[in-house]
Amino acid sequence: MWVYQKSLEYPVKVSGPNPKLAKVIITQYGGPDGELSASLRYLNQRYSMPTDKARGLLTDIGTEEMGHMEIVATIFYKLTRGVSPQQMEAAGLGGHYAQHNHALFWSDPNGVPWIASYVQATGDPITDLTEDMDAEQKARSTYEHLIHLSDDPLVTDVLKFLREREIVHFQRFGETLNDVQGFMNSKKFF
Amino acid sequence: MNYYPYPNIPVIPGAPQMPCSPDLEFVFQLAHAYVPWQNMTQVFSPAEALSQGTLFPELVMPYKG
Repeated sequence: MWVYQKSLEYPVKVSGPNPKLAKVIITQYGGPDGELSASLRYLNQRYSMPTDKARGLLTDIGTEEMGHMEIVATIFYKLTRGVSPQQMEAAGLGGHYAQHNHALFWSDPNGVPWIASYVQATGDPITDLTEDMDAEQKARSTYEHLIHLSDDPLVTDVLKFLREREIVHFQRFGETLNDVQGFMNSKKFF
Repeated sequence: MNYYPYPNIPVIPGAPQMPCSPDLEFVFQLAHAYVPWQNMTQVFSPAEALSQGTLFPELVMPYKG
């Protein structure tokens, strides 16, 4: 179960409405390498991990990624708050407005909805941890693309925080891969 | 539980050492991926850690664009 804290992991401020920026940032909400994919991937893969440490790590990082989804949702919400349907349309969010008004929805910037096939769970801990490291790199790259696209320094500041977290997660997944590989090797001899 | 810890071998210069059980010999295998172990050293204050995105100075790797 989870304990909920009524604040974001990192505070979100925006300079003002910016539907154009919101349109691209939605990819970290419901795109292939976004925070929904990350959190569900880790929280699902943890059951088939061979050590308590690996299960614990996936639970911790999966939980943090849910917190990141909340941060990305807040950015999108703040960037589209008070924006008229015409302004949404002009920013390329006409389709989003037609279907969701100002609500959040898990899609990529082109409106392609989130699908479970963005993630895998093979039951092989080496394969799954390698996918997790790959996922962290893809998320880092995506944050870097978004930093390039951002014209709001307050939003860029949050994107930089989230990008740094992906680096930390990569280190932890790598250490866990070392550990699990050692564990799998030792099993053959005992 | 007795299993091989992953030591940092000289292939990764200056990488921190993970405490290793002396009776187990680690075999560095081809076609496996490894990441250097991080050792606990100095940490940022909570406020600095929040602003950097990590508690650990050695993991600060800002995007250079």
